[in-house]
Amino acid sequence: MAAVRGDSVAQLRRGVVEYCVLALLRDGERYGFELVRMLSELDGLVTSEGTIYPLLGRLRRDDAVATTWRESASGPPRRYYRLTPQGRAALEQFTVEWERFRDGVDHVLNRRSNT
Amino acid sequence: MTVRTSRRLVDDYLAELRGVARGLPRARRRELIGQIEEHLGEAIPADAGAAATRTELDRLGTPAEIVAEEQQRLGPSRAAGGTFEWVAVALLLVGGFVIPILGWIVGVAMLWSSRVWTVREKLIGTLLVPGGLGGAFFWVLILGTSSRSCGGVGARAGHPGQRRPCPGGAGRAAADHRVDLRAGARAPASRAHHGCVHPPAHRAHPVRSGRRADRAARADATAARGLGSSRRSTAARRQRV
Repeated sequence: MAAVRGDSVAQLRRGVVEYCVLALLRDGERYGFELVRMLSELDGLVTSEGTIYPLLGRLRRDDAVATTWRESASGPPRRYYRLTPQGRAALEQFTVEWERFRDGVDHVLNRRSNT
Repeated sequence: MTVRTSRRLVDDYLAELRGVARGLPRARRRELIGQIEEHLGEAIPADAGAAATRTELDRLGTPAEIVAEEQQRLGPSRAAGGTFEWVAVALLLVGGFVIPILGWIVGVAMLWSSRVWTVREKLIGTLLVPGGLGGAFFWVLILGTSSRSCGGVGARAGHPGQRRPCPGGAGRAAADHRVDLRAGARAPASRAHHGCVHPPAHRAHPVRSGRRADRAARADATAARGLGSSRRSTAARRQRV
């Protein structure tokens, strides 16, 4: 049971984190390392930083983000990620769904703890 | 000394990653290794000590962990339609024009061997226009030439007894049918592609679209009821009058 619970939390995290990536790109492009650091600073969202990169590749192939190489002042060029119109639409849709989902779950969990 | 150790730790890590990633498709392997190299370049400065380097590598996770995640993320996306799927759709639609019947058959074979579409979509793709537009065109052409004759034209021209095939008539019929067929056939193709290009956006919200449909249905029902009741009241008023 504990193993199953751990697995479903991992699945939940995997499903949600991709929208967190899209949300971090809402206000402009960011490079991979910057994105990964921002996500890993958030508690409980990312288990290991390296697992974000397969997600970034996936989002790029799904046309939710687009990439551009840019020179950096300090070292080799960086791969910058930015939101595509499809990515923005997916993020907006998720935001609505998430609010409903979160409220529903909170409602059930709180009722259980109150009674 | 520590700087050299740091370099060595990073090199060992990347060597391990390359080894574990060997099973990935080439493009993905290259991109992933490039991403991780870039990350390490940012996270570990050239003068980093061994301890700081180890901390960064721990934060990154083991190569096995990263590659396992890549494989998980790879699955559904690999099934996002590529050139193969576009060729299959093209053959299904117009393959019959290029090589009659055979072109369409190849299209069907490609349709069924693709992992992008569901069985239902494949059935629709196969059965909606058997033979594809090419096949339909030829069928219409054959049926048109055999059943339609120039009776009307001939009669007007003063040759009522003469029955000859009317290519113009058949051509027109074929053209008319073709327009209908195209409109019909485009639906499954675009649907299939629509479905595969954005699987997360669409598959992730079945509940929502279901609810929307429900809401729409309810709204329709309410409107119908409203209409019905107003009709009833009109009828009642008429009776009273």
